[in-house]
Amino acid sequence: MTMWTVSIDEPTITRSVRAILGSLLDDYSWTPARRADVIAVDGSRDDWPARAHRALGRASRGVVVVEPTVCALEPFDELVDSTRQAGRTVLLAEGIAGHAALEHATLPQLHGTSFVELVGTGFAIAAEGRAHDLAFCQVRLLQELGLREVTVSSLTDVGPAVAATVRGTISSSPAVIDLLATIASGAPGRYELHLTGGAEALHVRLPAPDTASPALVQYTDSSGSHQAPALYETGHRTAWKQLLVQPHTSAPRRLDRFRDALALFQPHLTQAVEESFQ
Amino acid sequence: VSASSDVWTAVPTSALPLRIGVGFLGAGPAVRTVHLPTLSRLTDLFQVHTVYDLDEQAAFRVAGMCEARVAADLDDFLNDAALDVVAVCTPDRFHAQHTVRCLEANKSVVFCEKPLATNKEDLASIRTAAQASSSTLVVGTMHTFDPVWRALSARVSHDITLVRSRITLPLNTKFERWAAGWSRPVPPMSNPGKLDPAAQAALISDAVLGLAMHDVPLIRRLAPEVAASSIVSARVITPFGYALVLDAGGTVVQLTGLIHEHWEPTWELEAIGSSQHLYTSFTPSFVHAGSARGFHGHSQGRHEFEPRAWNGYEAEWRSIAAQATDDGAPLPPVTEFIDDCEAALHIAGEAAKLLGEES
Repeated sequence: MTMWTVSIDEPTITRSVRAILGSLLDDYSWTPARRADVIAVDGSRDDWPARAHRALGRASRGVVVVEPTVCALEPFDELVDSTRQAGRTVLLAEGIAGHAALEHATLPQLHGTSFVELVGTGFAIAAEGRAHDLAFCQVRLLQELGLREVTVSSLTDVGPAVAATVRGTISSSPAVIDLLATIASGAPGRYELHLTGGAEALHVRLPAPDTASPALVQYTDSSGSHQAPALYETGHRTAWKQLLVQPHTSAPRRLDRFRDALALFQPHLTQAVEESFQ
Repeated sequence: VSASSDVWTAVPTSALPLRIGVGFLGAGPAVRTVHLPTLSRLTDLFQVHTVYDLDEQAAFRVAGMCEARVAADLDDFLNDAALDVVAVCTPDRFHAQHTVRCLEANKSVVFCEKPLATNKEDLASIRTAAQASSSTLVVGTMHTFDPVWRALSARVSHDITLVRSRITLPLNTKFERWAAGWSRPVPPMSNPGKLDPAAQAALISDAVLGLAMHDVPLIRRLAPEVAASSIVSARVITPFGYALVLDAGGTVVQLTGLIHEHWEPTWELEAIGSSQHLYTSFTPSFVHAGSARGFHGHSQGRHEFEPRAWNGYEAEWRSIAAQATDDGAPLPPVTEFIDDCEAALHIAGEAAKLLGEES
């Protein structure tokens, strides 16, 4: 069995990465060296695409970006280009959009009265003043659920530091999307998605990304409700496992969808957020 | 406590400049699936220094996972000055013998996986050794450390008339893989049908000490007389389970446990009294899925307890850290753990005896 060495780009993510890799002890080992098979990069930094780009030069297998947040398009595109040229993998470890439970969700048929409502509260992913990151996670969640044609018509910072709302549509249907993201430390962190079709509904509840508490995925139609089996795995751990089994297959598609979400958000970001990318 | 040296200690969240040295006596499944994953979440508090196992290959494998050394023999392990905490994770039948040796070595904290002992004679030897030792003894009954259980149980007054423990779990292998990416090999489950009396007695004893043991300490807090309870009824549920009803000084205690092959886990503890209702739902073993959730109902309403971020495994190691650094005294007295084990041995023995008599 091959064990891949892992190094971190900077110590801010040491705790979270060690916790994940402590659950994959047969597959990964730590190294204090700057060069390693895999290098983990902190995705909460505005300049994470540039850091991931540089890390590619030191990683023989690939780079894992831990909880990537909203960033500028240009450095992201440069990262994707260099990844493909180098034949390596950049894997986005997304706690929400990467949760394995989403693979078990069945989408209802959408039509004119369909409504997608998603509320996210109390997450550590987004720092205060960055509720747009939480809203971004929601759009990514919808994409990974299979709603690939999401459009964003407005992104509003409320509060202004602690909440954001997104209104949007799905271009292939008249369904309406309404997302609310709140950073509230007093509330238990979770995402609640209600996707209501005509005679069908989907309810997804995802836990905070740092706990292996299972998600709820419940599909309801006229015959009753079906609940998917519980998975006790975080989205981050799922990403590290994917790196082992299919490093060059699923990752590019995820990068493409991530880019689509970034492009949706760019026109709606405040000047302050855009300046933070400089 | 030893000075930390590697780059991973440059964690800004760390409040401690030094980490607590841990040694594992035994390098089997519990270390790989429970303790190493848990300690990987607490690298700012603990450093695994030393591993010892008669199976040298297993010892080197575990040591390689946590950058530890392998001790040459048990004396080398016990004499390792870098060890503040020694964890006894050998097979159940050796727990008592090894715990006594660790207590005699006067390590700061001696942690032992449950069950502490598998018979009353062994437990008596631990009691004697603990009284003579300066060590703090901790047993890995993780739910006793669960933060929501602790908060809930502190609210309960002693008028409980009914306690129900219901544990129905999928095979451990699923949860071990989620927790550690690895699971111990187990033979496929099969239902043996009607068992002879000796097999029934052996199975119920194993099931109580292996599964019900998790809840016995909690039940003792709710119904202290469970330690001297009489068995009203006992049934084996094949392939691995039990259904017991106990009379604990007037409190009825119902214990059901079953290992099954479908996906849904249930781990509930409920207590009802004349003026209160306590309910706790625990997360399954192995996985780091946060704490229990539960509620305390009373005449003024119901207080709900939302899950906390960490479970009993993490809480027990955090409590050990607090003990080892003299930072508060959150651990129960040593006698509590020994009395918990005595209660479990009593239930297992009485249930086995009843099944033998009925047959």
